[in-house]
Amino acid sequence: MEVVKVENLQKNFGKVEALRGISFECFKGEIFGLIGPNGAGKSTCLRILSTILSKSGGEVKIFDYDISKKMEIKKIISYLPEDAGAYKNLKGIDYLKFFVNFFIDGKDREKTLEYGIELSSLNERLNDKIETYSKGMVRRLLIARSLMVEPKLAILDEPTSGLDVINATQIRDIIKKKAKEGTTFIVSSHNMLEVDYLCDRISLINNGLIVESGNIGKLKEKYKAQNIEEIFVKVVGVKNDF
Amino acid sequence: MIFNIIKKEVKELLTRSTIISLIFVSFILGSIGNFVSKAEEGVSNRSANIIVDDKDSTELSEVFSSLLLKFSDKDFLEKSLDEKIKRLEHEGGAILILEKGFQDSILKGGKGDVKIEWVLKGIGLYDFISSDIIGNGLNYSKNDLTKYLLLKKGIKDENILEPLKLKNDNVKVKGKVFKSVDPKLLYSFLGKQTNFVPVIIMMLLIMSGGMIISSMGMEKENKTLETLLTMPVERRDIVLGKIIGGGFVGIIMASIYMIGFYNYMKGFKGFISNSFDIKVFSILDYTFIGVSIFLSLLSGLSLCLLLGIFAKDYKSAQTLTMPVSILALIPFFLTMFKDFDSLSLPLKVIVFLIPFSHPMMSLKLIFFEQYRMLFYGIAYNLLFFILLSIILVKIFNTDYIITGKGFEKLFKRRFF
Repeated sequence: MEVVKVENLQKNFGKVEALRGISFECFKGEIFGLIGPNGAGKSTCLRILSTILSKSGGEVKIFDYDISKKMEIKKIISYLPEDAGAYKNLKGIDYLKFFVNFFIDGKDREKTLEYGIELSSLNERLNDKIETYSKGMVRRLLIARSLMVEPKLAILDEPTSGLDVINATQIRDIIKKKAKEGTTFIVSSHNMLEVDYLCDRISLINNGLIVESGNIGKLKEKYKAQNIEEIFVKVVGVKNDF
Repeated sequence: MIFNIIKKEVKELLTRSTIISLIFVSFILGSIGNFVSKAEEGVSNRSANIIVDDKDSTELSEVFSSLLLKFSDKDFLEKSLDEKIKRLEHEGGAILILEKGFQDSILKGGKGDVKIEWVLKGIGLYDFISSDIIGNGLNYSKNDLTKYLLLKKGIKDENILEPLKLKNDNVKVKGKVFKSVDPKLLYSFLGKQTNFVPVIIMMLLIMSGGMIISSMGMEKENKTLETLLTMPVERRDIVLGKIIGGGFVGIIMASIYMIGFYNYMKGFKGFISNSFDIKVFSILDYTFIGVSIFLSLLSGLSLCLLLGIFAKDYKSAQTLTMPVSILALIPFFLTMFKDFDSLSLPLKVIVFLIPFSHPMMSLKLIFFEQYRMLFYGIAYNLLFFILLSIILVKIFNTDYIITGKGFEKLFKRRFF
């Protein structure tokens, strides 16, 4: 089932063309990777899918909703920005409660909150102020916030950036588990090893254009590459004129 | 949804450390007021350390000496000379030397020489209190000595010293007549009644305005705003939630601050409080003042949120509170030194356009029953708030809120 359909998506910031007509699609329960170097247009694309930024051209559909139907889309998606922080003066538990209140009514609220607490694995530290958390703890809290409301589509921009191996692995495992349960993920990263581990399919983006898309295994075969890094270098190297 | 945002804003802004620091400032202010009040008590006690060295030892010098010593501290008078000098050096006071020939000179139509050696405790405001008391004592003693001399010359009519009887009949201001009042007394009374509101407005604006700007800076720095914008809530509600939440916290903080400020002001209350007391304001009047303050606060917070949008991070947000503070200072000082009606037309326009002016002027307007101007101010503030909210929602609906680019789209989108 097609969950996200992006066709010829363009985004200009004044004279700067951040996205120059990209197209891709994602399917239910899939972890889709948007891969590229800094400034390639990954975050801009994810921000458009998250309804934060407007598009300059092209079509975007999420669960058959046109991207202009922002309120409907917001109810079924969850977005985690790159290097995001949290409200430092709030306690971890209050942070989760704040976001639960946007989605869930009545008694389901408690259930969702309990799930958020479980996802965060922060236990009693949730009663402390976020300003006392380490970077890894904040990221776990943010991941819990993103996934506790059971979004149909989770858009994660660099989900493990700046984290140590243990924290990063924990977060990747959560993503894998949720995908198996039916959540669709769009993950942006320039950590190729992470993408290799997490994603089913990827699109390589460079200078605002998608230069290659497909199943990771098939792409490795096509480019006779050991890993995505090699694929990327070969693709960008071949299509350097982009 | 909007209550969820308000609740979050309140929780985030009203931290324990903020409240503790406010209570501390409030306590310090109250203590300063207490200190002032005690110092004023010192003045009203009218006693100081005075040593009179009568080198003339004549009838007149003795009369003058006894008159002067009425202003000396009773405790001080009972001490020995050495102890007096010690205490004088420690606490301050004066040694008044009545020179030889004091009486002769006066009786021959000349002037009696009095040499004063001042000993000051320090150069602070309150260190001069004793010198004021001694100065006043000298004046009173001089008068009494004159009366004594007149009496000796057979002139019993003391009125010769003050032949005029001045009576303040009416004071007419802005068509309102106040009977048997000194204009200065009227000014003090009005000042006492009206200076409070501008201070409240200033406190509210500086505190909650600063918080709302900083909150926007932090939202951008931590990218929490990006997350918030993806929540299923109208951006209009985010804007209003931030303004109302900031306003609520501002009111709480200002209230704590005002308790301290009230105690501080108590220290400056003079004789005026008992001598002139007209009950002017009704409950309805106070309601009007409340509405004016509330709308002005909402306008101010909208303005602060607008400025906060331009903040890139928490640090840059700190500098943005300055324009709002300056904007609040203009009517604060202008209405303190001049009446709105006596301002030139350009200044009137400027003061009127600043949304914080109206509650600052509200008490005076009510006092002089200028209700039309009061309502114009309230209507203007309401309009200002609505217009600014529309602009804010429009900006929140553009990419500018995230990227700092795309401001031109502001005028291409629908309002709500």
